[in-house]
Amino acid sequence: MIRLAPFLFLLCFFIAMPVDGGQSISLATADGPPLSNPDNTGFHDRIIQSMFSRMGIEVQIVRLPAERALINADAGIEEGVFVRVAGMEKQYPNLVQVPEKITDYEFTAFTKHVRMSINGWDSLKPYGVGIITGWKILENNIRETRDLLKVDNPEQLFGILDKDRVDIIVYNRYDGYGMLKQLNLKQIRTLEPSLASREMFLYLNIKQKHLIKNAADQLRALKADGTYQKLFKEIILPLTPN
Amino acid sequence: MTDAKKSKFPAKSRLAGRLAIYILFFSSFMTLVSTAYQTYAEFRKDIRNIETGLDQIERIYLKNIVAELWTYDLNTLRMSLQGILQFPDVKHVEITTVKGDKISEGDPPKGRMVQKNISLSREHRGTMIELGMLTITATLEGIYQQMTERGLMILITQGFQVFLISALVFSLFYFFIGKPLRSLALYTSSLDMNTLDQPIDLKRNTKRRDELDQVTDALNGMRERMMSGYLELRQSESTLRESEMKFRQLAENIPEVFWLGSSDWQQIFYISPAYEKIWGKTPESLYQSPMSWFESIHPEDGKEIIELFPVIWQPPFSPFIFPEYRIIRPDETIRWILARAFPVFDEAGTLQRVAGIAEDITERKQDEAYKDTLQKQLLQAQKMESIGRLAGGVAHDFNNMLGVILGYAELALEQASDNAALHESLREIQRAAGRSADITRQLLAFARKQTIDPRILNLNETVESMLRMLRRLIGEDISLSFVPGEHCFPVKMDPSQIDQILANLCINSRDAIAQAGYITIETSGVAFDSTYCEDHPGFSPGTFTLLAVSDNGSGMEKETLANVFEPFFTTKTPDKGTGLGLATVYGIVKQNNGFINVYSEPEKGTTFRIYLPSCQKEEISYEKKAEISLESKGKETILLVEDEPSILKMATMMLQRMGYMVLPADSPKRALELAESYSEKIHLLITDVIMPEMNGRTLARQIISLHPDIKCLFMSGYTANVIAHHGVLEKGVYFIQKPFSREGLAGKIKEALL
Repeated sequence: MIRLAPFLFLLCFFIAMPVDGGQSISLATADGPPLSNPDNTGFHDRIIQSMFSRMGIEVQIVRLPAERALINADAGIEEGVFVRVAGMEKQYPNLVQVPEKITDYEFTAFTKHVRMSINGWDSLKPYGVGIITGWKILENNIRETRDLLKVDNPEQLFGILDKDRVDIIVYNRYDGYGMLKQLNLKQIRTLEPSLASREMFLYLNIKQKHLIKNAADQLRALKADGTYQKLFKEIILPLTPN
Repeated sequence: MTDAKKSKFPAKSRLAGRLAIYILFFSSFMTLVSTAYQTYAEFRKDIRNIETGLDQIERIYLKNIVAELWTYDLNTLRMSLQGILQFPDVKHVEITTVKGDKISEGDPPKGRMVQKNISLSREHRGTMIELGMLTITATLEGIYQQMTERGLMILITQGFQVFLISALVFSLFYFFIGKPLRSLALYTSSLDMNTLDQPIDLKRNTKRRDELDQVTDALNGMRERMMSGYLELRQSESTLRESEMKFRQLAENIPEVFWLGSSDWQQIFYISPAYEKIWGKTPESLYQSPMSWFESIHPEDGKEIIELFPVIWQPPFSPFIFPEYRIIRPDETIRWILARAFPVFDEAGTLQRVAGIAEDITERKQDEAYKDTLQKQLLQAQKMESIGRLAGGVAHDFNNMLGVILGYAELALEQASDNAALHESLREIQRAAGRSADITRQLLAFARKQTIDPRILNLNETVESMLRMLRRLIGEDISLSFVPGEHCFPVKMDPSQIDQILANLCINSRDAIAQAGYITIETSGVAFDSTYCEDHPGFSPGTFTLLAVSDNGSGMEKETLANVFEPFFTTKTPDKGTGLGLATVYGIVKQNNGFINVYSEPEKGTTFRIYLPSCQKEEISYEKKAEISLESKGKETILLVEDEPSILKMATMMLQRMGYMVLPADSPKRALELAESYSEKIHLLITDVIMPEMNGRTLARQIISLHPDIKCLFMSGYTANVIAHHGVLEKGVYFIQKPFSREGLAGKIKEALL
């Protein structure tokens, strides 16, 4: 048994060894264009890919509904999820946040007809509001509105607004810009200011905990060396209304 | 009246009522069963409907629910679940995620329910991912309520239907079957041997024949067959009874045991009652223990029988005769058995049973033993007779010679009175001749040729008178005692023979006693009946006087006892005995129609028991004999006949010296000539008995015809039944035994002339 000890140790080491250089990792995301595209050319896609390529890890991006993305990442089906607000580990204990934010989400109201200045969540109460199922910040804060309609995806969300099923929809600003362009919806505009802003992070399954620090370092490095800003200008900025 | 006749049917048919009740019960039971079955089938159908509904739910909703759960669109998911709740009986729908979260609609039902669990999974990146479990719960309460209501309805309608059918069946059965059956039953219950000739008629008003008519015909047919069978049975019973009676008569009256048993001898099927008579055991005991007959076999014979068993019964089976064997009955008596066994074969020729017969041959064996004894006795008697005849013949001639010797010795003594030496020599001759005469006399006694003069005797007195002589005979060292019996019968015999008997027996006893001892003489009266004599060969029925002589001498062995009465058989040294003593006793006893019995044990002693026949009352008359004076001289004329010249001469001289006028004749012819020619009175004829021309008795008869008053005196060495019947003289007939002395002759002449 003593003679076998080194062998067993090595076996355990290799089994426990996390995905790192030369490996691949699957990460779930509920983001849509322009943040995430099927051809992985979205803003967040590029940031994530840049981060992990610097770590020598190939990233496979899996697009899932928001709640499903969390559930799968928590269950280890995917090894991580992006981008989500801070504190997700409370509901999904197998998720560990990479402490460097990827971006800030501005939860912004989009409308066709309403004209008002936003002054907190209560500003929405007189209106019929639409949101996407699973967006926790919205589900928690948008209460007692005249009507609340939850849909599965941004296309539905902007569809119900375009068809006047609701007065206002609440969505991420940049995602909204992407959808407006994608759907060619010219009559929809944002209500300023944003209802809330949240730092959005990458979460990895607890099995990939050892990648956390490196990932955070690489993200900071992206921001520090201007790669982050370059990608923003390249992908997001063109979508911004004049 | 039989019990069947006593039994009365109730007004309503029992059978119909019972049938109706059976139908009611059976139909009710079947109703219950069918109701239960229908209800159950409906229940199963409803269950299947629910299951089908659940399957439909699965088909309709599963895809959507999986998609909704995948996207986690809880609102839509709840709407889907509420849609499911619209299905009949579905009361609760719940999704349990893999994480354990529950999304449900409706309330879980209480009571009986059915649940369907559907696994929710989705393919994702080539892998099926478990999303959760959909549980649909449907209540069964509605089904149960429906089942109860439906069952009750079926039960009530069918129960009513059953009641109506039962009532109808009861009525139909009673009128069409029960009632006729009752008539049949009453008829058959009242049917007995006296009413067998009365047929049954149901008196039914229908022309169409049915099963009841067949039953009626069958009963009538049966009645006729029973009547016929009954008569045959009675005939058979009579025949059987007759046969049984014959068999019983055979079994109970044939003295032999006959039996029937199994071929292995281990079972007895029949044993006749004679078994109990012969074996002394009950037939039942043999049935219970078939080999118990064997246990009764005498141990000395049992071994031979048991050795025979293995070889008796081997193919080819043939009748077997057992060796004669003895059995010991429970009362310890012994029986002789002759048994035979016969094989009994079945039709195939296989040994099936064993039959046998056992015969009690005890009497035959006893008869054989008795005959054997008689045969031996006959042989012994014939031997004794032959010896006696021989001895008698010798004695006759010998006596003649002794008579001459003695006669001339006496004459010479008279002439030699002056010469003492010569006188003494002559006396020796006379004594020797006398002893020789004694021997011949004993021989004649044994041969029962001794001529005797029987008288009525009181045996006690006779013995008493002899005691003195006997004591002298046996000497002083031996004590002689006489025990006279009180009830002795008188006997008729020559007293000199009593002398001979006692003298010989006492001498034998004396010689058997080494030094001192005792001899006892006893008398008593005894009587033997025929039964006693059957068991004691040699004895004959009647009253006897016992004369017993016992001693405590050396006794005799069996071999000696067997020959003890043979003449010249002696265990004494030649100088002490002639071997004629007991032969003489035997001859005397037989001559007097008595019998003798000897009992002896070595070193213990010997007892001779002599049974003398008692004298008949009419014979008891004591004759007083006239005193005969031998001193007076004779003067009568005597015709003397003797074929032996020397005796004739000697006797002539004796008679002349006695003073008689003697007419000597050397033959019967000469005697007749003398008798015819002699003109004077001839007083006495003295004649020999055995002579060549004619015997003395014939001669005497002829002489008497010439001289009617003449008296006769016969002289002989033996009588040979010429003048005496079995040696016993008739009345008026006188006899003198050769050899005789002058005194003896003188006495006899005086007696005859008196």
